[in-house]
Amino acid sequence: MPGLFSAMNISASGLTAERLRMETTANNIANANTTRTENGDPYRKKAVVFSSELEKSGRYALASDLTGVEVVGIESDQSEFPVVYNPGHPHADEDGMLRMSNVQIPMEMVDLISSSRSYEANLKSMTMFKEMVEQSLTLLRGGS
Amino acid sequence: MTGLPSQFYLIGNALSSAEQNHRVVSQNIANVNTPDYQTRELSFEEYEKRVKSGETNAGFIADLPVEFTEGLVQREDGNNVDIDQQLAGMKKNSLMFQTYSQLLAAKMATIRKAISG
Repeated sequence: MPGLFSAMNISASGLTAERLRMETTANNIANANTTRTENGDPYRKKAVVFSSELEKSGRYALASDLTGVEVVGIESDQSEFPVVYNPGHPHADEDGMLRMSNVQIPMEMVDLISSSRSYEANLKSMTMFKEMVEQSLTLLRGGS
Repeated sequence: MTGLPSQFYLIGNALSSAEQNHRVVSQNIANVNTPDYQTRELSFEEYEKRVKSGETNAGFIADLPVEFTEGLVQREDGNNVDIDQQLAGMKKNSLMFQTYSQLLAAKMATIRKAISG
């Protein structure tokens, strides 16, 4: 049996997930020029992985089975690091080639806008549910 | 059940299904960036089928079945949530809820008037 405000929890899970995606994107942008991390490699772009718990159940689930979205992990992008010629850099090799982070700023900006818009949509859904509950409460007060 | 009590019951059912519809739309919006997520909607046909077969009791609609929405365009990541469509559906549903709620308030006001004279 779902709680009275379980629709609120679904939207809240969306807000949490989108916020985490935004934080990850911010971290990517901040590290776009990081050429060395703990393991000696340049910074690898990170991406959050979303999953819907309901996918596990069958075709006909019940409305009370809906649980929103879940972040199942943050994974690193395994694509190759771009190499630039920069002999003056302390991390450059003997030939003066420097491996840069595989973060692509334009991609990150697009991601940032997309998660910001999704966050807004979830917030809108939450506000609307709040209005619905308030209407029900008005009934209890004997108003219209 | 006849008269006003049955009307309360009917409007209550309508309010309950509107609340559940909101839940499904919220789920779709929350999963707008989940790969392979399929858009869902309430299935009244499936509910009717279950009631007819005796699987579910025909009573207050507390828990409706959910099915996949068909005929939507899938994105490259396997997700087929149309955010605009969902937001429009949410607004529509919210207005329906408001309508039912005001209907219920009007019924209650009628009874109150009858009691107080």
